[in-house]
Amino acid sequence: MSIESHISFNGIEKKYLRKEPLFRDLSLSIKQKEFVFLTGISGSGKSTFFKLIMGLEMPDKGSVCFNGETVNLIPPRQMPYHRRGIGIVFQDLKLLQKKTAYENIILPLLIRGVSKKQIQSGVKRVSKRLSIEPILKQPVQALSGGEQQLVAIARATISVPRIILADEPTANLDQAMAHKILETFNNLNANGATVIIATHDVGLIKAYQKRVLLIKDQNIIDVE
Amino acid sequence: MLFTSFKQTRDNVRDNFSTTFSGVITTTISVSILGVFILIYLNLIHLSQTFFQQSHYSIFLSSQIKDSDKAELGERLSGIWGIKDIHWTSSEQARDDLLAGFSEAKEILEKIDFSKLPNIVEFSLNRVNALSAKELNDINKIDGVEEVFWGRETKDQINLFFDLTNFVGYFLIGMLLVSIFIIIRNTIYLSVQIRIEEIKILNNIGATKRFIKFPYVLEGILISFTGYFIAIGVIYLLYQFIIAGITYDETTYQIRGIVRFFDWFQLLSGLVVIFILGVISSFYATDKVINRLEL
Ligand SMILES: Nc1ncnc2c1ncn2[C@@H]1O[C@H](COP(=O)(O)OP(=O)(O)OP(=O)(O)O)[C@@H](O)[C@H]1O
Ligand SMILES: [Mg+2]
Repeated sequence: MSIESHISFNGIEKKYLRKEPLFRDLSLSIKQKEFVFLTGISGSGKSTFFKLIMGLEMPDKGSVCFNGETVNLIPPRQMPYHRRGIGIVFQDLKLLQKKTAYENIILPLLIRGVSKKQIQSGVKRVSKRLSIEPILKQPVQALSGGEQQLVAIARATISVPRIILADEPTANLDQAMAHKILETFNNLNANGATVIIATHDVGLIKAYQKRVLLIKDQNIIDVE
Repeated sequence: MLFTSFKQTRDNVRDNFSTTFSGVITTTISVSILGVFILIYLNLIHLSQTFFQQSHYSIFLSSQIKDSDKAELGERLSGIWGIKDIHWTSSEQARDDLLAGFSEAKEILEKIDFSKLPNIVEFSLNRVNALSAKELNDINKIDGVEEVFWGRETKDQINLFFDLTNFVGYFLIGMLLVSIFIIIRNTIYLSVQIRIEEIKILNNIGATKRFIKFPYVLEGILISFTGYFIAIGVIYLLYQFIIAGITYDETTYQIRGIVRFFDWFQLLSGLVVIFILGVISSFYATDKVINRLEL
């Protein structure tokens, strides 16, 4: 494991109960400030890859390292602090449906006990970036799929994380919006964040000349 | 964090109002029963200390007391309300009693001058109050009265009664505290249950267990406090109502001066107990659900 590498998978085996293993002896590393697309067919394990980094799933063999820490060895008490370091857009968004967009977006700051003033400026920053000011006061369940997607992205980026994991962030968005989101991630990446985006969208992958990881045959390979 | 938790608690209560409400009501009922029982018990103790006590008096008379003074004293005593078992002991009588008590050493004792032994009048008083200052003064005023001693004691039967109520009481208090615990625990349990998805999400984005639990513990405290304050109000109204009902004439009106409501210290102690109960029970409920989620 090089010092440079931000995330590294070392000899990972992952298998869900009563299923074929998703990964077998998987090793790879992602450097700091890299921008990576992660692709593969449905059910190949893209979301599982993110869950391993988050410590939401544990590998059956091998180790996942993040910032020099072995994720699968982090004690439960410390796990929340590990997760806080990562901005994540879940595939199913995981928004609190009854709460407003605003209340959802500020959650990462609330759990950190950040001051009201900082919360305000954080909301201002992300909502302007994603043009979601008009929907801030609405409950999430009253928003369209695309709007919910934007709220999820806003929540993932409000704490200015050094790494962003986005699982199908453009799934509910039209082409123009999808490109706008990708531009946003690109900017965050330019400002120093590591970005990993899981997507099926070949057009999107082609439009950006970035590193592409493909999940294939229970392994992950670099494709050009 | 506190403000955030308050907001979350408010949302929890709003979304789940009927459960919270029934939790408050059942807590109120339990606390009311418990409170009424304790109040009656405290008043019984208090009443027993006044009603069920006897005072014992010994009046020491001078050996030269005139018969006329003795007669006056006798008359005065018989006029005292609640007086019982008046017993006169002359110094000769006292001497004979004493000698009878020392069968062996009698001969030595016989040589001693017993003229110094006082005349004594003993009696019991069977009423709420001891002799008033005026009554005592009236007795002391009489020539030949030297000194008045007195003491009080609780009647034996009443101690037996209290042993019994103590036993029943601890049992009842225990049962009610346990039931309050269960009520709050179940209410919070439901509240947490319908928020499992939210809890998982919070956990996924890095909230600590403490952050997740706190609103529910606050809700537990809210339920216990609300139940407690309503119950105290209920008990107070009940108390006033009953007092008004049983003090209908001049004699029974005295009861007003004797029975009493909880004092501030007792109310505060109750609050502390209910607070602890609210915290423990809601903590217990949240812990149970969250641990099962294996966050
Ligand atoms: N918690 C789980 N328990 C059992 N099996 C699971 C679980 N999560 C995922 N799987 C299985 O693991 C495989 C990979 O799932 P995953 O969600 O990682 O795929 P994916 O690449 O993200 O798919 P998609 O493109 O559809 O989002 C699937 O076959 C899925 O059924
Ligand atoms: Mg997926």
